[in-house]
Amino acid sequence: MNRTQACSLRRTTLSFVPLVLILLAAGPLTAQQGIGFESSFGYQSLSGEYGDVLKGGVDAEFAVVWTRTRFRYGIGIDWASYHAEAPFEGESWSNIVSYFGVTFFPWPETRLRPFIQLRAEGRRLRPEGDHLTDEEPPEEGENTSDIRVFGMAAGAVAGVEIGMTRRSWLRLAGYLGDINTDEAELGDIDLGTVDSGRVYGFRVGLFWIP
Amino acid sequence: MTMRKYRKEPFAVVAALVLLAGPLTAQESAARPGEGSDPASSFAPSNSVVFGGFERAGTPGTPFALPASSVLLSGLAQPRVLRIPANPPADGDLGDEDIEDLGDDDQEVSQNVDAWGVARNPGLATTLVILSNIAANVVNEYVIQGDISQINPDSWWHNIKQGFSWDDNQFRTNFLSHPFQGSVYYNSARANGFNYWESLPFTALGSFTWECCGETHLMSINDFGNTTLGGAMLGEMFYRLSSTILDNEATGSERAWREVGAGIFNPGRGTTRLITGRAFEQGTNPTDPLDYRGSGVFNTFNFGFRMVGEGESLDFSRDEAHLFIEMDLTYGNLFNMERNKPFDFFTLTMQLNFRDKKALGLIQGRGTLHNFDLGRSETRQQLFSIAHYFDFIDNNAYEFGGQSVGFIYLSNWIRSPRTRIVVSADIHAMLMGGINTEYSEFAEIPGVRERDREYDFGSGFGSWLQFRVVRDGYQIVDLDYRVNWLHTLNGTNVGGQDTDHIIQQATVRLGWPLGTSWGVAAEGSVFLRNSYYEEPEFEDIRQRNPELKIFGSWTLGSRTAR
Repeated sequence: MNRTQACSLRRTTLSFVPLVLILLAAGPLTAQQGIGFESSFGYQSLSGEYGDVLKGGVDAEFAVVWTRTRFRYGIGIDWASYHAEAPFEGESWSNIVSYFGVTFFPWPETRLRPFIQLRAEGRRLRPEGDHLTDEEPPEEGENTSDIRVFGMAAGAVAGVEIGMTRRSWLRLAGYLGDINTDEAELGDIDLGTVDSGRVYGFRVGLFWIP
Repeated sequence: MTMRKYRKEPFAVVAALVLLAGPLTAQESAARPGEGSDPASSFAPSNSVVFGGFERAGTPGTPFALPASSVLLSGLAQPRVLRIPANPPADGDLGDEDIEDLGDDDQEVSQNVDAWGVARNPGLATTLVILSNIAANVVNEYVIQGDISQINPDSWWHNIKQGFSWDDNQFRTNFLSHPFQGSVYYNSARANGFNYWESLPFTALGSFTWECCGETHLMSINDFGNTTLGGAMLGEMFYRLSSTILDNEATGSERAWREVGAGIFNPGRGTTRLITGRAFEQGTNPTDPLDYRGSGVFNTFNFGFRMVGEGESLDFSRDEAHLFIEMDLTYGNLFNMERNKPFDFFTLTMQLNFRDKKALGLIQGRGTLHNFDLGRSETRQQLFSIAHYFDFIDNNAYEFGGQSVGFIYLSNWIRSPRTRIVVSADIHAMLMGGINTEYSEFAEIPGVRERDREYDFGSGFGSWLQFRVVRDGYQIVDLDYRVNWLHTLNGTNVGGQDTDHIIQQATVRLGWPLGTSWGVAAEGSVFLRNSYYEEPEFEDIRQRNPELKIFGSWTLGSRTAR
């Protein structure tokens, strides 16, 4: 890192300090208990075997949660678009993850509250079928829409919630998870067999108590 | 490999529960004498009871309305709200001095809350609309494992870019499942403090978000129309019927069963009450019976045999007679309306057919949106109504359904204390209709329930004429004729731009009451379809299917109590 880059990073970091101080100085909030909803958008990337055949994409998430003291329990679902590498780059794969998550808030009554969440995830990964019928399959190979794989894995989310109103919070989070699925046999299209990988990304969203 | 489009019915299970729950609800409500209403989709006499006392009337400290026999017949134009003291006399007899008259003012519902005390909550309504879409998608993906549920942000954007098209789903999916799905959206808003009109945008929102984002299938304009319009129609009926089950004052197991029953009938409302905690809170019930038990919920079951001619006429050596059960539900008292809100009056008919292609063969409903009093006297009342229609007929012989809005003239002529004549005539616009056709690509796919369409989508106009003689609350004569012109907007093979259908249904029914709850009847009807194709390679089609029914009727509660 050269001197210019270091200065730029320092300025950027320092510009957030007043915001953080203001939020912290706003005083404690009463921790909201009961049923709430989380929703977020973000971006995921892939590594490992799946990372060799698929590229990451936009992701969206929705969860119904129940908050009790410093813990929040919830079930949610996450949809992400993955894109096949050449020669199937026109093909979109759907990654649907349903999960049960437990979130821990060390300081639940502050306006800026960090959290960490652990998840047990069920993953369904497959190319879109119906969607692709409107498009010509790649000339070099077959459409892969008859492939579908499932798997269980664990994931972790870490981030902060920033109180905006008494009932709504802005969520900023990073995500890291494993992909462990049945073997996806892509040999027919010269992509081998894949069954594992890692996914990571970030999300911006809302937590809301009705 | 290309995948054929098909769609499953994630709401089918819930729909079945609703149908099972229907008669129970009606029984619970209709068994109450004094809550009279109209028999078999007809209209009540002017001297019938307008509304009855609440089931829990007499609970100390609780507002209640006196039975109509003691209030309305004494000349009050509007029901009064009375509150009995917290410590009533031991003998239960209340004198006038014991009762506090709250007047009409307490009946005024606050601008901020609905009759059930629920404040508008657009955030929760929207969230529940989205949540119901997610639930349907999860059922599609994890239970049915359909090939249209692999949604993701890419598919959402793709669908929005592609815009609306027409789909090829089964008639039942489009004209029954989607309206039921819409009813869930509708009630997600209705149960969160919004009225009929205010709930419509939420229904449209749910329909749009499902079409764009609930499945990878391209967005369907027919789904959007059927879900939004049919959803509002079924949704408001489910809302009213669930209100006849709920009781905010009940406790213990009775309360639990009421909440469960209402939740099955109306999942959107049940979910809302669970999330907001209202399902567990004790409170007061609406003061206006029309928001609570209805001004009369009246249910008749017809059961017997029906024979549908597969050809031009009935052939007793070829056509078979099979059992059927029909439920005629009437909510409200059209000719004695104390107020004028959408669906204060509606009729709903459901028919189960045995050994037909599907058990549920018919659902038809009409609900008034607004009524105009054209004049009334001791013996005659006349009304003009704007109404919302729902039609779904699906049997071995034909398929016909749609969402319509109509203008109805109604007359109730009281000929004697036991007999009256009801006449109605309407014109209606069928905004989104469907009718079976011959020129379609049948494509039975092994293992797949969906197949290519065998019906046309269209819009058009129609008229419905009814003449009924009612004796002791039972229809002894019913002459019924309906005609619809449907111009095809999207049809199979030729696109349908040059196709017109004329659909006619004529019915003659003769019956006789037996006592106060029973009756017997015979009904003959004929379905006619003339389809005209401008394309020379398609011959015009004439379809004619007669139907004969012989059945007994059983009315929950006493017809003559009305």
